[in-house]
Amino acid sequence: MKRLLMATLLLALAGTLLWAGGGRETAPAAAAPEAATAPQPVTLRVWGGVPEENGPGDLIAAFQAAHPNITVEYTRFVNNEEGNLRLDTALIAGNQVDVFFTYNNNILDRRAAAGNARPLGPLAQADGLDLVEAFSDLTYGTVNNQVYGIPTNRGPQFFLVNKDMFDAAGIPLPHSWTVDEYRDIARRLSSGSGQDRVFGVMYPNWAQLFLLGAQAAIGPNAYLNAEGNSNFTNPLFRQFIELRRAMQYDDRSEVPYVEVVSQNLSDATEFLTGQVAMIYTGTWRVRNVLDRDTYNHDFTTAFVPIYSMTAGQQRVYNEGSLGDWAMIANDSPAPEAAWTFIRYWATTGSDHMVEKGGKIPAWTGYPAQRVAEAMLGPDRAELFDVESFQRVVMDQPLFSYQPTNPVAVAIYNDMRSVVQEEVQLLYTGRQNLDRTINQIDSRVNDLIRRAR
Amino acid sequence: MKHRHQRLLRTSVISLLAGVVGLFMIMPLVWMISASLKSEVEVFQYPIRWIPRTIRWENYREVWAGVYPFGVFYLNSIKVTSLSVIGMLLTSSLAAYSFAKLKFPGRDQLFLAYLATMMIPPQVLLVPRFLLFRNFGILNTHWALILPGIFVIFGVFLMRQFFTSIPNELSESAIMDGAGHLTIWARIIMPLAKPALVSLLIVSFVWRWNEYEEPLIFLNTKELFTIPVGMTLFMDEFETRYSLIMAAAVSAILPVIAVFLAGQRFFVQGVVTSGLKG
Amino acid sequence: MTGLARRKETLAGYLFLLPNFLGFVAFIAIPVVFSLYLAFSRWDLLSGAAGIRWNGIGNFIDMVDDPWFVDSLVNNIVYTFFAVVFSLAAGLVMALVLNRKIYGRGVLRTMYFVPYVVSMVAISAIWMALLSRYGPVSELVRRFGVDPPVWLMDPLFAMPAIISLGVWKQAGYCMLIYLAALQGVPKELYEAADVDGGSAWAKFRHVTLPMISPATFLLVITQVISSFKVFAPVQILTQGGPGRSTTVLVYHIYRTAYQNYRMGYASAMAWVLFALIFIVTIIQWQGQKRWVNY
Repeated sequence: MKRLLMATLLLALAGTLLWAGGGRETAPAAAAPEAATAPQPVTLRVWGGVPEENGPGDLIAAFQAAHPNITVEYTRFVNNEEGNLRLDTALIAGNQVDVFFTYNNNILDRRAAAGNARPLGPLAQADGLDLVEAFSDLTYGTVNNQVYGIPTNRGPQFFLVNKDMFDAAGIPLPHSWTVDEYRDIARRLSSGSGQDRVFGVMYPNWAQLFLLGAQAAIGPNAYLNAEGNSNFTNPLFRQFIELRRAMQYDDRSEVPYVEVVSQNLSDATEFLTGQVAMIYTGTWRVRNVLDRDTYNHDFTTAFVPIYSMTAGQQRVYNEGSLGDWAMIANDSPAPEAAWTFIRYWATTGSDHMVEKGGKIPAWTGYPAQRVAEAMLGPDRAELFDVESFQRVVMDQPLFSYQPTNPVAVAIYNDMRSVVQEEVQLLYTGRQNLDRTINQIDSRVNDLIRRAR
Repeated sequence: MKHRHQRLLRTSVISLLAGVVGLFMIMPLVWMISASLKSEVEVFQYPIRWIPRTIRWENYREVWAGVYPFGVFYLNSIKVTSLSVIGMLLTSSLAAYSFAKLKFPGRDQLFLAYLATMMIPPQVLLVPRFLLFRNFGILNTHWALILPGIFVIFGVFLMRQFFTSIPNELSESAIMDGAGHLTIWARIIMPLAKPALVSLLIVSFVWRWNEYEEPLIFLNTKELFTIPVGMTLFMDEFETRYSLIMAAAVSAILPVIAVFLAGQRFFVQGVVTSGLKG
Repeated sequence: MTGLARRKETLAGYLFLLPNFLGFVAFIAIPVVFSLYLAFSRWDLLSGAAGIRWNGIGNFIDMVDDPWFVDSLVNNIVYTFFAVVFSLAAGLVMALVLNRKIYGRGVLRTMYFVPYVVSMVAISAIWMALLSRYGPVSELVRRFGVDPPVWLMDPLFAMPAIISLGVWKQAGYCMLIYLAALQGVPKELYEAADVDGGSAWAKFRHVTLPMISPATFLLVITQVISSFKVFAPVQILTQGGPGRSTTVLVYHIYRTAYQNYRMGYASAMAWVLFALIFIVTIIQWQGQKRWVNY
């Protein structure tokens, strides 16, 4: 009885003590602010989304060898909602992060606008680096005319196609194509029925792709018109939404979206097991093609650009952009060392990220012909149509359609949810095309009204 | 004789039916085991191929001896879970005794306030907790997981419900004999509440063991990670390696099943028979 | 004497509560109060603690014409009603069967508990397989000459699919609590009923059910609470679709907080959800006197 009482009291006491004084200091000691002037030891805490063994480890080792006074501690977060929340809580808690990566253009806007990032212009200037010359396009790294991030990846999106299927059907690899040609080709590449049907094309389940062709034709902020209202009455949206519906349900040449979602279908698996002829994707899928241990296949994979809505279309904008922005935390005590590090990562050190990380350096000084060699591996001649990689991924200029207008950025996530919901109802036969367009149009107008 | 046969037959039929339902219930576990031995391509193929084309033990090797210290995650999980669960059983049953068996001013109001806090979705408490723990100085330590794990309202609620159904006559006669409340709690109430304690132990073990968001947000150092956060390392924005995650999940589920198997033998009818007036 | 005894009891009451209460204040009450403050604020998470701005009841006004909020609320109520009723019923049946002397009882108990402990990914994989185009459910429907829908993407069937998954997962947990409660039913009561010549049903109705009513009360309350907070099955199986037919509040709260960083609005919705559950709980609390046997 007495022992029990003691135990209880001890427990209560322990609880209070722990609460009051326990725990450890979380942040490792960073160097004093004047670190960069003298070669004093500095520790940089770097948060990135790429697993350490896929490039960052090598890059950091090489950097530390060249800068013996700087130690880099790499923390990896998963680039999804929870992972970004983890980084954001660390940022707002303060004094935990020196360098971080932002993979999503509209999160960059928010992180910079909230004052969590440091403008890089002065640092670059002091270091003698012309940012525009080094990275060509800084649109998405710029907020209120200040550059907050430098791009470490060039991420165009495209179609990966099964070239053997194209050859067998006698279809030449398109260098540029219209949606009509695309629809026709997808139909010709489809065959079989029931469970064994081979489909012409498959998309990931991202809602913004319900608008792909229209956005690629109109460009950034496609869903806002000149007055700043919803632009969904533009016939291009109607035309493209209907195209994807018709290909799934009339032509049966596209893997139905409802199947992709309700069966968690993986485009890598479907493509590399020969179940679909083309997938819409980006450079991240290249590593799956190389992984013949998991995805045993023997066809040649080629690259085809995004289609245009009409033959006369001037420019085809891309869902992808320059990205993987390297940024410096506003409260970093060692901004110069942090700058030295991100400059290295984005320029001379970027080579470490190509082979294992599957990243194409955004740096204009990087030798473009090296990418194919490093990224597509030693067996590239057998696995890939290298010429189409060079043409589609490397040589074609990258114009992104991602939003730049502050209202468009603010409503982007909700706009996608609206489109997803309404198009789902179209696909499941609960509403017709007219109503779908009207609903999207009026709901996006509501979102715009609220965002203002 | 005939009667006995009939009963045997009935028991067999019920057992058989229960077994069929049981097979249905363990399907996800079987799926996990099968997926953990597959190559990534096969994982989501339908209809399900229960026996993989080629059995890949490499998945387990990659989890346990790959680039991440999975063994460390495992030990961390054991440490964090067992400390929270023990602390929780102790503080909850003390508090529940107070709520169920003692009368004091404000008791029912306080209990309702306890209940009310269960109703706030944890998603909106995560960031407030983060900021609070920063002030406590326990971020990036295991205390940030253990301490909140001790104070779980459900534990108090469950124990209170079971304590109230224990007849008061038992404790009253003990008071007559001059016993204090700690004695009654330790000698009379707790032994009678064994099945409840065991079920609380099991469910809270499951909860703490699988807790994902708290360690994700409160910990930075890889060496402190628990299994659920460790598993996110097999995932990136474009690809989740389900075969590896399932190998990790199968490894992770063993302690949970062990705890259940050890605990379920307390559910034998007729533990409570003595001293009741019926 | 009675005054002294009462004072002693009061003191004991507070002392027994103390360890738990300290933790309750530190780890639960403070964050909860903070989130209440946030419900009346506008806070972009990224702007840090300094960026919290008082917003009065603005967040609550915004909810009225937020289609996601309104639909989520309705879906939540539907989900909760069916999920609670069916998981309690299933759990009770399982517990009753497993409390009998049948073969392989220990193993069966463990088997029934499995869905509660396995990863959500595995559970949804099973559900996707059962409901896939050529899965067993679709084949069964086809045998009746009907073309099966895509269950998880059909506005009519998506919610029932999610509910059945929830029931399947929660039933084992209800069973566990019921099993523990059944151990507390004194054998003497059954024996007395036997003497009275009561049928099995009468024994169940007049002995078992009243004796386990505190556990039922516990389960109703906790299952209502956890069903109102349902999230993972929706996120993994349907992402709220098709349309908004399976959007639930916590899913909307999650998106608002973690995708759009609007912590204030997310907290406000959480508090509306709280108010709703609280009212339901108070009603049950008041009602318990009629049916809960302590």
